[in-house]
Amino acid sequence: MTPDYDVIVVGSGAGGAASAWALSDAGLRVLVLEAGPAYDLYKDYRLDREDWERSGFPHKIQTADRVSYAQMQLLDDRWQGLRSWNRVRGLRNLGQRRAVDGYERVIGLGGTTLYYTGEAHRLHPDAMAMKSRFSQAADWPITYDELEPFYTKAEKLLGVAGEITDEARWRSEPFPLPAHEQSYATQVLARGFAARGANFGPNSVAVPSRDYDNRPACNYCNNCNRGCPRGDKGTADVTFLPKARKTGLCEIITEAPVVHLEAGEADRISAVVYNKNGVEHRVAVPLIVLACGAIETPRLLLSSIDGRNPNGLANESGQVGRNFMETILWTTVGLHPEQIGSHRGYPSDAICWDYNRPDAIAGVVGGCRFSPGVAESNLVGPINYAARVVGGWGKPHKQAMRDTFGRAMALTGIGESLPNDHSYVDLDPDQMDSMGRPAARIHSHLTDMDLNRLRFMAKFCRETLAAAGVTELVEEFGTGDVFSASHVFGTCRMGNDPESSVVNRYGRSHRWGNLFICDGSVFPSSGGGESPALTINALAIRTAEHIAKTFGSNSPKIND
Amino acid sequence: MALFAAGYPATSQSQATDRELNNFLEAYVDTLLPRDETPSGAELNVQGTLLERAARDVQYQSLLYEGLRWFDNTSLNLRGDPFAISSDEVRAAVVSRAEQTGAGQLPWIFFTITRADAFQAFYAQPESWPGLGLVRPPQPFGYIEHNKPPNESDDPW
Repeated sequence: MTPDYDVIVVGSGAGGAASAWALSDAGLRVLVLEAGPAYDLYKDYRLDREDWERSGFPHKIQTADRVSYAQMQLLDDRWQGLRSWNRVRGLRNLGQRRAVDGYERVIGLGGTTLYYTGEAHRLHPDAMAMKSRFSQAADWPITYDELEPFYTKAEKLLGVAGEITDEARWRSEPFPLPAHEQSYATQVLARGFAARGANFGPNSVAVPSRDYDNRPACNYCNNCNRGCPRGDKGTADVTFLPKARKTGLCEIITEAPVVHLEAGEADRISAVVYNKNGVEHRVAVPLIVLACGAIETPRLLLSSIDGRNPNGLANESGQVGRNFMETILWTTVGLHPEQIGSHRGYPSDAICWDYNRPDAIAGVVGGCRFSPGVAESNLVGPINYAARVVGGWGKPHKQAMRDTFGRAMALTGIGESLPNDHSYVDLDPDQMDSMGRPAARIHSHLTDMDLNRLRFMAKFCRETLAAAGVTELVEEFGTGDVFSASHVFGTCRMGNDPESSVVNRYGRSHRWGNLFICDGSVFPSSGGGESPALTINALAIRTAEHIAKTFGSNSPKIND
Repeated sequence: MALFAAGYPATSQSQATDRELNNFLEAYVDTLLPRDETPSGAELNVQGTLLERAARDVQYQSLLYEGLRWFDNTSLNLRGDPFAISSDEVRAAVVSRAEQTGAGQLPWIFFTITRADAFQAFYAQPESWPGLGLVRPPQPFGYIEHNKPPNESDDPW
């Protein structure tokens, strides 16, 4: 087969889109294979319809058959204070074991960026040295200083709006756009932080505060997670991918899930096989970038077995699928006596980084951050208020709705997830997806350290809301008793030692010389609650530039 | 549906007619969401949404008919009339009884599921929004004055 492309990129989310852009911008011919369909901003996102609140993100591809969950851990009485509950519905989890809401992601052009809120965070430098400093997780084989220029490139392309709120994440250039003004509800919440002597400043977000690069400024509808019909939110399909296409060197095929990687001679991946409309297609692979995320990337590698590679590809270390890290999250929701119009604004317009350092919480390794919990609580319309806040019925219910709507105030903490031996991803021997491929099976276990971090976050949220004036709590949700994750990491981690990592400091497989990974699976540690998308963008751009420099355009070198 | 996991029978056996079911649901949603400053549930055809779901889901249809039977029997025992033609006070008393039967009981299951569906159908309609402060969906206008207190904002949300 004569290659028609220099690089095949599998996946079009934060990592795939950024690498496709950087590769094509460097002159390489790129083919992006995306499992899902493209989304039409104007037709698919429903926020202008009267029944907008009835649905969440309009998924076009259901993913339930692609993922399964191993039995979750028993709930321990020591953590009774961390149960999820709602004042209308009662306890969220009535069972003896941790329940499963699921792995939240989007299969579509742009990946889970289509659903995300658009937070654009740089990792705390200390969180990249967890092993050497705190004997936890693994050290990143690169430093913040090495990654910084790529953060800057990603921020410029995305139009990140922000303001310097902590000194640890030094910057070579200012934010491309000024920070957003905070909603009135966030200004009221900020009183709680001020009362406690905690910092609560503007969040850095890939959502323009001014018109930027043919994207409009945000108009503060507070519904990022339902899909942005304006194209202001920095999803991959309105940022990296159009620029990649514009080079003339990037072709994108959607609805083309990759089902197999073929191993060739000389430790090279020789081809990818994808399925389009029920027909399998083989494409020769000079170079390949996997960017399917921390669940689907190991799933593809583990399932691409053959006689010579019975344990899957790139799994010489046995680490593919291991070191799974997830979202450690707590949200407390209360009612403020003042009418604050909390359904208005940008969902995560402020952030507290005070406890983000790995050693910031007494007695706990791994930090966290706090931000308004608008996205997590989804209390931006009357249906959810009626069902989860007000309840009741009859005239008292309707009057209570009028008295209550717009007064919900939510605070969310998201914290570090540390890898452990009981948290990993493998292939389900019994569940197959619609194409006959084994599902990815998630094994999740929270340690006492994770639960202590969660306990800290819960206490902080409750106390801060009270300090802000909240007089009654209506709901709490935590991942201590319910598995729910959109930030996932670690399952193909990067490192210098081939015995304990899957890829090297450039995301290149230690063994398979033309295989690179550019997604959250390469993270050796999760960070203290930072949203990972910007770091994934930065890593992907860095890897792509390394590929371009090492292999050149049109005639990739086989040997280093 | 988890509430059906205990083996609630998927049967559509009932002596009630479709018309009786419609009349019952109209009265029921009017009790859940009576007219005050905004229309009632029946005026916004919330019962139609429940019936549409029943047309697609045999178990849900069966739940509605069983609910009709329980509500009518309870209403007859209270004041001698079927639920649909009872007074507002009697209807409210019957709904309260259903709510108080407790988790796992048929009336409670009926009440919990249909109330959630009724709220969805009702509050998805702009006619239910006056008094909440909402006048339109979030887009295309957004909330440009999100940074001001609601009572100082010229934006009618």
